[in-house]
Amino acid sequence: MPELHDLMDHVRDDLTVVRWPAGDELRRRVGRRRQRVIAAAAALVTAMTVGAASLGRPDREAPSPTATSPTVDARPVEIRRSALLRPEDVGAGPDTQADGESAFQPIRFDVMLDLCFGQRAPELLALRSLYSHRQTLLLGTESDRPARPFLLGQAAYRLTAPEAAAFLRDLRSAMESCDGFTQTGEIERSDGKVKTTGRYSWPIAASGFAGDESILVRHDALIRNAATGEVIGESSELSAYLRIGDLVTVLSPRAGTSADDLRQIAITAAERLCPSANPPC
Amino acid sequence: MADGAGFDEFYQGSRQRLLGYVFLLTGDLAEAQDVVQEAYMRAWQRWSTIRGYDDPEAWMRTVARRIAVSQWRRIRGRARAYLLHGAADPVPAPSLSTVAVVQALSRLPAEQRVAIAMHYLLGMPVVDVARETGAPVGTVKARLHRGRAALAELLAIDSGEPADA
Repeated sequence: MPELHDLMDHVRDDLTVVRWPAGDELRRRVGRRRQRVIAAAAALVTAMTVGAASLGRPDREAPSPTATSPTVDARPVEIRRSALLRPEDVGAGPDTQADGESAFQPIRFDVMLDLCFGQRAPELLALRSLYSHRQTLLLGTESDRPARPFLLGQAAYRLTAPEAAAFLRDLRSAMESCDGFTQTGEIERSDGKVKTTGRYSWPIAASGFAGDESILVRHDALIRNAATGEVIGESSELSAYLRIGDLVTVLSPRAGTSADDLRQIAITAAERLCPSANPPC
Repeated sequence: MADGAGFDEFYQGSRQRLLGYVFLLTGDLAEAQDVVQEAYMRAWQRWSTIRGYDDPEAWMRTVARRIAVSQWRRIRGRARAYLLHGAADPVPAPSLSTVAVVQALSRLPAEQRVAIAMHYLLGMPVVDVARETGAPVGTVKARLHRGRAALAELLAIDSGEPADA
Protein backbone atom coordinates (compact mmCIF):
# COMPACT_ATOMS: atom_id res chain seq x y z
CA MET A 1 0.00 0.00 0.00
CA PRO A 2 1.32 3.44 -0.78
CA GLU A 3 2.09 5.87 1.99
CA LEU A 4 0.73 9.37 2.24
CA HIS A 5 4.22 10.76 1.54
CA ASP A 6 4.31 8.84 -1.77
CA LEU A 7 0.91 10.18 -2.77
CA MET A 8 2.04 13.70 -2.00
CA ASP A 9 5.08 13.14 -4.23
CA HIS A 10 2.63 12.24 -7.03
CA VAL A 11 0.75 15.47 -6.37
CA ARG A 12 3.99 17.46 -6.59
CA ASP A 13 4.99 15.67 -9.77
CA ASP A 14 1.63 16.46 -11.37
CA LEU A 15 2.04 20.11 -10.62
CA THR A 16 5.46 20.42 -12.22
CA VAL A 17 3.85 20.62 -15.67
CA VAL A 18 1.86 23.71 -14.73
CA ARG A 19 2.90 26.69 -16.81
CA TRP A 20 3.63 29.95 -15.08
CA PRO A 21 3.84 33.55 -16.17
CA ALA A 22 7.19 35.15 -15.45
CA GLY A 23 7.58 37.21 -12.30
CA ASP A 24 7.99 40.43 -14.28
CA GLU A 25 4.72 39.70 -16.08
CA LEU A 26 2.93 39.49 -12.71
CA ARG A 27 4.56 42.74 -11.67
CA ARG A 28 3.41 44.39 -14.91
CA ARG A 29 -0.14 43.22 -14.23
CA VAL A 30 -0.01 44.89 -10.84
CA GLY A 31 1.22 48.08 -12.53
CA ARG A 32 -1.62 47.96 -15.08
CA ARG A 33 -4.12 47.33 -12.31
CA ARG A 34 -2.87 50.40 -10.46
CA GLN A 35 -3.12 52.51 -13.59
CA ARG A 36 -6.72 51.41 -14.10
CA VAL A 37 -7.55 52.31 -10.51
CA ILE A 38 -5.99 55.75 -10.99
CA ALA A 39 -7.84 56.22 -14.30
CA ALA A 40 -11.10 55.15 -12.68
CA ALA A 41 -10.57 57.60 -9.83
CA ALA A 42 -9.89 60.36 -12.35
CA ALA A 43 -13.02 59.42 -14.26
CA LEU A 44 -14.98 59.55 -11.02
CA VAL A 45 -13.73 63.08 -10.33
CA THR A 46 -14.56 64.15 -13.89
CA ALA A 47 -18.02 62.65 -13.69
CA MET A 48 -18.67 64.42 -10.40
CA THR A 49 -17.45 67.69 -11.90
CA VAL A 50 -19.84 67.50 -14.82
CA GLY A 51 -22.64 66.33 -12.58
CA ALA A 52 -23.12 63.02 -14.22
CA ALA A 53 -26.12 61.18 -12.97
CA SER A 54 -24.54 57.79 -13.01
CA LEU A 55 -21.04 56.50 -12.72
CA GLY A 56 -19.34 53.51 -14.12
CA ARG A 57 -17.88 50.92 -11.81
CA PRO A 58 -14.49 52.14 -10.65
CA ASP A 59 -12.54 49.15 -11.74
CA ARG A 60 -12.64 45.47 -12.03
CA GLU A 61 -9.92 43.14 -11.03
CA ALA A 62 -7.34 42.47 -13.63
CA PRO A 63 -8.32 39.70 -15.99
CA SER A 64 -7.77 36.41 -14.29
CA PRO A 65 -4.44 35.01 -15.37
CA THR A 66 -4.96 31.96 -17.44
CA ALA A 67 -3.12 28.71 -17.57
CA THR A 68 -2.02 29.54 -21.10
CA SER A 69 0.40 32.20 -19.90
CA PRO A 70 3.75 31.49 -21.44
CA THR A 71 6.30 29.56 -19.50
CA VAL A 72 9.32 31.74 -19.13
CA ASP A 73 11.47 29.84 -16.70
CA ALA A 74 10.86 26.15 -16.23
CA ARG A 75 14.03 25.58 -14.24
CA PRO A 76 13.20 23.35 -11.29
CA VAL A 77 13.71 25.17 -8.03
CA GLU A 78 12.33 22.80 -5.41
CA ILE A 79 14.61 20.34 -3.69
CA ARG A 80 12.75 17.11 -3.23
CA ARG A 81 12.93 14.95 -0.19
CA SER A 82 14.25 12.19 -2.45
CA ALA A 83 17.29 14.38 -3.19
CA LEU A 84 18.32 14.33 0.46
CA LEU A 85 20.07 11.57 2.36
CA ARG A 86 17.91 8.59 3.22
CA PRO A 87 17.92 6.78 6.54
CA GLU A 88 19.65 3.75 5.05
CA ASP A 89 22.53 5.94 3.84
CA VAL A 90 23.58 6.67 7.39
CA GLY A 91 22.11 3.80 9.39
CA ALA A 92 19.29 5.91 10.82
CA GLY A 93 15.86 4.75 11.89
CA PRO A 94 13.05 4.83 9.34
CA ASP A 95 11.16 7.92 10.45
CA THR A 96 13.17 10.89 9.24
CA GLN A 97 12.22 14.13 10.87
CA ALA A 98 11.22 16.77 8.33
CA ASP A 99 12.44 20.17 9.44
CA GLY A 100 10.69 22.07 6.72
CA GLU A 101 11.21 23.28 3.19
CA SER A 102 10.73 26.79 2.02
CA ALA A 103 11.65 29.47 -0.45
CA PHE A 104 13.67 32.55 0.31
CA GLN A 105 15.20 31.39 3.57
CA PRO A 106 18.65 32.40 4.78
CA ILE A 107 21.40 29.80 5.11
CA ARG A 108 21.65 28.59 8.68
CA PHE A 109 24.97 28.23 10.42
CA ASP A 110 25.74 26.97 13.89
CA VAL A 111 25.00 29.43 16.65
CA MET A 112 28.51 30.70 17.30
CA LEU A 113 29.35 30.93 13.61
CA ASP A 114 26.14 32.85 13.14
CA LEU A 115 27.16 35.27 15.89
CA CYS A 116 30.57 35.79 14.40
CA PHE A 117 29.28 36.23 10.84
CA GLY A 118 26.89 38.83 12.21
CA GLN A 119 29.96 40.89 13.11
CA ARG A 120 32.52 39.89 10.53
CA ALA A 121 30.71 38.52 7.47
CA PRO A 122 27.16 39.91 7.47
CA GLU A 123 26.84 39.39 3.71
CA LEU A 124 26.69 35.60 4.30
CA LEU A 125 23.77 36.02 6.70
CA ALA A 126 21.99 38.24 4.20
CA LEU A 127 22.16 35.56 1.52
CA ARG A 128 18.69 34.19 0.76
CA SER A 129 18.26 30.81 -0.90
CA LEU A 130 15.86 30.25 -3.77
CA TYR A 131 14.78 27.14 -1.95
CA SER A 132 15.75 25.14 1.10
CA HIS A 133 14.92 21.72 2.49
CA ARG A 134 16.02 20.51 5.91
CA GLN A 135 15.81 17.19 7.68
CA THR A 136 17.10 15.40 10.75
CA LEU A 137 17.99 11.72 10.73
CA LEU A 138 17.42 9.94 14.01
CA LEU A 139 18.40 6.63 15.50
CA GLY A 140 15.79 4.04 16.47
CA THR A 141 12.09 4.23 15.89
CA GLU A 142 9.37 6.37 17.35
CA SER A 143 8.53 3.67 19.88
CA ASP A 144 12.11 2.71 20.62
CA ARG A 145 14.37 5.73 20.62
CA PRO A 146 17.83 5.81 22.29
CA ALA A 147 18.51 8.54 24.83
CA ARG A 148 20.56 10.53 22.31
CA PRO A 149 18.84 9.87 19.00
CA PHE A 150 20.33 12.68 16.90
CA LEU A 151 22.42 11.24 14.10
CA LEU A 152 22.69 13.86 11.39
CA GLY A 153 21.14 17.15 10.34
CA GLN A 154 21.08 18.02 6.67
CA ALA A 155 20.09 21.29 5.06
CA ALA A 156 20.10 21.73 1.30
CA TYR A 157 19.84 25.11 -0.38
CA ARG A 158 19.41 26.17 -3.95
CA LEU A 159 21.14 29.43 -4.76
CA THR A 160 21.46 31.44 -7.92
CA ALA A 161 24.35 30.09 -10.01
CA PRO A 162 26.74 32.99 -9.22
CA GLU A 163 25.92 32.85 -5.50
CA ALA A 164 26.45 29.09 -5.42
CA ALA A 165 29.74 29.39 -7.29
CA ALA A 166 31.01 31.95 -4.77
CA PHE A 167 29.54 30.38 -1.64
CA LEU A 168 32.32 28.08 -0.45
CA ARG A 169 35.00 30.62 -1.29
CA ASP A 170 33.13 33.25 0.71
CA LEU A 171 32.49 30.79 3.53
CA ARG A 172 36.18 29.88 3.79
CA SER A 173 37.13 33.49 3.91
CA ALA A 174 34.42 34.25 6.51
CA MET A 175 35.59 31.35 8.68
CA GLU A 176 39.17 32.56 8.48
CA SER A 177 38.03 36.00 9.57
CA CYS A 178 36.28 34.35 12.54
CA ASP A 179 39.38 32.52 13.74
CA GLY A 180 39.79 33.24 17.43
CA PHE A 181 36.31 34.69 17.82
CA THR A 182 35.61 35.19 21.52
CA GLN A 183 32.42 35.48 23.46
CA THR A 184 31.93 36.08 27.14
CA GLY A 185 29.16 34.47 29.13
CA GLU A 186 28.16 32.95 32.40
CA ILE A 187 27.56 29.39 33.48
CA GLU A 188 25.87 28.01 36.54
CA ARG A 189 27.97 25.68 38.69
CA SER A 190 27.41 24.06 42.04
CA ASP A 191 29.55 26.76 43.64
CA GLY A 192 27.68 29.60 41.94
CA LYS A 193 27.77 31.50 38.70
CA VAL A 194 31.06 31.68 36.84
CA LYS A 195 31.96 34.20 34.18
CA THR A 196 33.41 32.52 31.13
CA THR A 197 35.29 33.38 28.00
CA GLY A 198 34.85 31.15 24.97
CA ARG A 199 37.31 31.08 22.13
CA TYR A 200 36.11 29.64 18.84
CA SER A 201 37.68 28.75 15.55
CA TRP A 202 36.60 26.87 12.45
CA PRO A 203 39.64 25.39 10.70
CA ILE A 204 39.19 23.54 7.40
CA ALA A 205 40.08 19.91 8.07
CA ALA A 206 39.73 18.63 4.50
CA SER A 207 38.49 19.77 1.13
CA GLY A 208 37.64 18.52 -2.36
CA PHE A 209 36.20 15.13 -1.39
CA ALA A 210 32.64 15.36 -2.79
CA GLY A 211 30.51 17.26 -5.30
CA ASP A 212 31.93 20.21 -7.22
CA GLU A 213 33.43 21.70 -4.08
CA SER A 214 33.49 20.55 -0.49
CA ILE A 215 35.04 21.38 2.82
CA LEU A 216 35.12 19.63 6.17
CA VAL A 217 35.06 22.15 8.97
CA ARG A 218 36.09 21.58 12.57
CA HIS A 219 34.16 23.62 15.09
CA ASP A 220 36.62 24.10 17.94
CA ALA A 221 35.51 25.69 21.18
CA LEU A 222 37.54 26.32 24.32
CA ILE A 223 35.70 27.73 27.33
CA ARG A 224 37.68 29.18 30.24
CA ASN A 225 36.88 30.67 33.60
CA ALA A 226 37.27 34.36 32.81
CA ALA A 227 38.81 35.12 36.21
CA THR A 228 41.25 32.23 36.64
CA GLY A 229 41.87 31.03 33.10
CA GLU A 230 40.92 27.48 34.11
CA VAL A 231 39.59 25.43 31.19
CA ILE A 232 35.95 24.61 31.87
CA GLY A 233 34.98 22.97 28.63
CA GLU A 234 36.36 21.99 25.28
CA SER A 235 34.70 20.60 22.19
CA SER A 236 35.54 19.81 18.61
CA GLU A 237 32.83 18.84 16.19
CA LEU A 238 32.73 18.43 12.45
CA SER A 239 30.45 19.60 9.73
CA ALA A 240 30.62 19.38 5.96
CA TYR A 241 29.67 21.95 3.34
CA LEU A 242 29.26 20.80 -0.24
CA ARG A 243 28.36 22.43 -3.50
CA ILE A 244 26.81 20.50 -6.35
CA GLY A 245 25.96 22.84 -9.23
CA ASP A 246 23.62 25.45 -7.81
CA LEU A 247 22.94 23.40 -4.66
CA VAL A 248 24.71 23.74 -1.36
CA THR A 249 24.22 21.26 1.43
CA VAL A 250 25.32 21.40 5.04
CA LEU A 251 25.83 18.18 6.97
CA SER A 252 25.96 18.36 10.75
CA PRO A 253 26.59 14.94 12.31
CA ARG A 254 26.37 13.92 15.93
CA ALA A 255 29.36 14.61 18.14
CA GLY A 256 32.04 11.96 17.79
CA THR A 257 31.52 11.29 14.09
CA SER A 258 34.90 10.73 12.47
CA ALA A 259 36.18 12.73 9.54
CA ASP A 260 36.30 9.58 7.40
CA ASP A 261 32.70 8.72 8.18
CA LEU A 262 31.55 12.25 7.43
CA ARG A 263 33.43 12.26 4.13
CA GLN A 264 31.65 9.04 3.14
CA ILE A 265 28.28 10.51 4.08
CA ALA A 266 29.14 13.64 2.11
CA ILE A 267 29.94 11.62 -0.99
CA THR A 268 26.54 9.91 -0.76
CA ALA A 269 24.80 13.23 -0.12
CA ALA A 270 26.40 14.70 -3.23
CA GLU A 271 25.28 11.70 -5.29
CA ARG A 272 21.71 12.05 -4.03
CA LEU A 273 21.64 15.75 -4.90
CA CYS A 274 23.21 15.34 -8.34
CA PRO A 275 20.01 14.84 -10.37
CA SER A 276 18.40 17.92 -8.79
CA ALA A 277 21.35 20.20 -9.38
CA ASN A 278 21.66 22.74 -12.16
CA PRO A 279 23.53 21.70 -14.13
CA PRO A 280 22.86 18.06 -13.20
CA CYS A 281 25.85 15.79 -12.76
CA MET B 1 8.87 49.75 -6.27
CA ALA B 2 12.30 48.16 -6.05
CA ASP B 3 13.72 44.65 -5.82
CA GLY B 4 11.88 43.07 -8.73
CA ALA B 5 14.65 40.49 -8.94
CA GLY B 6 14.14 39.51 -5.30
CA PHE B 7 10.42 39.17 -5.83
CA ASP B 8 10.98 37.08 -8.97
CA GLU B 9 13.30 34.75 -7.06
CA PHE B 10 10.81 34.36 -4.28
CA TYR B 11 7.98 33.76 -6.75
CA GLN B 12 9.98 31.18 -8.66
CA GLY B 13 11.10 29.40 -5.53
CA SER B 14 7.80 29.23 -3.71
CA ARG B 15 5.03 29.11 -6.31
CA GLN B 16 4.98 25.32 -6.77
CA ARG B 17 4.56 24.76 -3.07
CA LEU B 18 1.86 27.37 -2.76
CA LEU B 19 0.08 25.91 -5.76
CA GLY B 20 0.17 22.43 -4.23
CA TYR B 21 -1.13 23.76 -0.95
CA VAL B 22 -4.02 25.68 -2.51
CA PHE B 23 -4.77 22.79 -4.84
CA LEU B 24 -5.16 20.40 -1.91
CA LEU B 25 -7.39 22.88 -0.12
CA THR B 26 -9.60 23.73 -3.06
CA GLY B 27 -9.54 20.62 -5.23
CA ASP B 28 -9.39 22.60 -8.48
CA LEU B 29 -6.11 23.12 -10.29
CA ALA B 30 -7.18 25.97 -12.56
CA GLU B 31 -8.74 27.79 -9.65
CA ALA B 32 -5.64 27.15 -7.56
CA GLN B 33 -3.50 28.70 -10.31
CA ASP B 34 -5.71 31.78 -10.35
CA VAL B 35 -5.63 32.06 -6.58
CA VAL B 36 -1.86 31.66 -6.40
CA GLN B 37 -1.19 34.24 -9.10
CA GLU B 38 -3.55 36.69 -7.43
CA ALA B 39 -1.75 36.10 -4.12
CA TYR B 40 1.63 36.87 -5.71
CA MET B 41 0.25 40.02 -7.28
CA ARG B 42 -0.89 41.15 -3.85
CA ALA B 43 2.53 40.20 -2.48
CA TRP B 44 4.25 42.40 -5.04
CA GLN B 45 2.07 45.34 -3.99
CA ARG B 46 3.48 44.97 -0.47
CA TRP B 47 6.84 43.45 -1.32
CA SER B 48 8.92 46.06 0.48
CA THR B 49 7.29 44.84 3.73
CA ILE B 50 6.88 41.15 2.96
CA ARG B 51 10.48 40.59 1.89
CA GLY B 52 11.54 41.46 5.43
CA TYR B 53 9.35 38.81 7.03
CA ASP B 54 11.03 35.79 8.59
CA ASP B 55 8.77 33.51 6.61
CA PRO B 56 7.21 35.25 3.59
CA GLU B 57 5.66 31.95 2.50
CA ALA B 58 3.50 31.89 5.63
CA TRP B 59 2.06 35.25 4.60
CA MET B 60 1.42 33.88 1.12
CA ARG B 61 -0.42 30.86 2.50
CA THR B 62 -2.64 33.03 4.64
CA VAL B 63 -3.49 35.38 1.78
CA ALA B 64 -4.01 32.55 -0.70
CA ARG B 65 -6.31 30.79 1.72
CA ARG B 66 -8.40 33.94 2.13
CA ILE B 67 -8.66 34.37 -1.63
CA ALA B 68 -9.52 30.70 -2.05
CA VAL B 69 -12.20 30.80 0.61
CA SER B 70 -13.76 33.84 -0.99
CA GLN B 71 -14.03 31.91 -4.23
CA TRP B 72 -15.06 28.66 -2.62
CA ARG B 73 -18.54 28.43 -4.16
CA ARG B 74 -17.13 28.78 -7.66
CA ILE B 75 -14.38 26.29 -6.90
CA ARG B 76 -16.83 23.67 -5.72
CA GLY B 77 -18.72 24.06 -8.98
CA ARG B 78 -15.55 23.68 -11.00
CA ALA B 79 -14.45 20.64 -9.00
CA ARG B 80 -17.74 18.93 -9.80
CA ALA B 81 -17.37 19.85 -13.46
CA TYR B 82 -13.86 18.42 -13.47
CA LEU B 83 -15.00 15.13 -12.02
CA LEU B 84 -17.75 14.94 -14.62
CA HIS B 85 -15.93 16.19 -17.69
CA GLY B 86 -12.23 16.24 -16.86
CA ALA B 87 -10.05 19.32 -16.67
CA ALA B 88 -10.71 22.13 -19.11
CA ASP B 89 -7.94 22.47 -21.65
CA PRO B 90 -5.16 23.63 -21.34
CA VAL B 91 -4.88 22.98 -17.60
CA PRO B 92 -2.86 19.77 -17.33
CA ALA B 93 -4.93 16.90 -16.00
CA PRO B 94 -3.70 15.55 -12.69
CA SER B 95 -3.00 11.84 -12.43
CA LEU B 96 -5.63 9.51 -11.05
CA SER B 97 -3.82 9.20 -7.74
CA THR B 98 -3.75 12.97 -7.35
CA VAL B 99 -7.44 13.24 -8.17
CA ALA B 100 -8.12 10.52 -5.60
CA VAL B 101 -6.11 12.39 -2.95
CA VAL B 102 -7.91 15.64 -3.70
CA GLN B 103 -11.29 13.94 -3.62
CA ALA B 104 -10.50 12.22 -0.35
CA LEU B 105 -9.21 15.45 1.19
CA SER B 106 -12.39 17.25 0.22
CA ARG B 107 -14.22 14.90 2.58
CA LEU B 108 -12.15 15.97 5.55
CA PRO B 109 -12.92 18.94 7.77
CA ALA B 110 -11.06 22.06 6.64
CA GLU B 111 -8.73 22.11 9.66
CA GLN B 112 -7.63 18.52 8.99
CA ARG B 113 -7.16 19.28 5.31
CA VAL B 114 -4.96 22.27 6.15
CA ALA B 115 -2.90 20.25 8.64
CA ILE B 116 -2.40 17.40 6.16
CA ALA B 117 -1.45 19.79 3.34
CA MET B 118 1.01 21.70 5.51
CA HIS B 119 2.61 18.68 7.11
CA TYR B 120 2.65 16.13 4.31
CA LEU B 121 2.79 18.25 1.19
CA LEU B 122 4.86 21.15 2.46
CA GLY B 123 6.90 19.14 4.95
CA MET B 124 6.22 21.59 7.78
CA PRO B 125 7.03 20.31 11.27
CA VAL B 126 4.05 19.96 13.59
CA VAL B 127 5.17 22.91 15.70
CA ASP B 128 5.21 25.16 12.64
CA VAL B 129 1.76 23.97 11.60
CA ALA B 130 0.57 24.75 15.11
CA ARG B 131 2.12 28.21 15.04
CA GLU B 132 0.68 29.09 11.67
CA THR B 133 -2.81 27.78 12.34
CA GLY B 134 -2.93 29.11 15.89
CA ALA B 135 -3.74 25.69 17.31
CA PRO B 136 -1.93 23.87 20.13
CA VAL B 137 0.58 21.22 19.07
CA GLY B 138 -1.57 18.47 20.56
CA THR B 139 -4.55 19.62 18.51
CA VAL B 140 -2.50 19.59 15.32
CA LYS B 141 -1.28 16.07 16.11
CA ALA B 142 -4.86 14.98 16.67
CA ARG B 143 -5.94 16.56 13.38
CA LEU B 144 -3.14 14.79 11.56
CA HIS B 145 -3.96 11.52 13.24
CA ARG B 146 -7.67 11.74 12.40
CA GLY B 147 -6.97 13.04 8.91
CA ARG B 148 -4.54 10.19 8.20
CA ALA B 149 -6.95 7.62 9.52
CA ALA B 150 -9.75 8.99 7.34
CA LEU B 151 -7.51 9.12 4.28
CA ALA B 152 -6.30 5.60 4.95
CA GLU B 153 -9.87 4.41 4.74
CA LEU B 154 -10.70 6.48 1.69
CA LEU B 155 -7.51 5.74 -0.21
CA ALA B 156 -6.47 2.34 1.18
CA ILE B 157 -3.07 3.67 2.15
CA ASP B 158 -0.70 2.92 4.95
CA SER B 159 -1.66 5.10 7.91
CA GLY B 160 1.31 4.15 10.06
CA GLU B 161 3.14 7.44 9.75
CA PRO B 162 4.17 9.16 12.97
CA ALA B 163 2.27 12.37 13.57
CA ASP B 164 5.12 14.20 15.16
CA ALA B 165 7.71 13.72 12.48
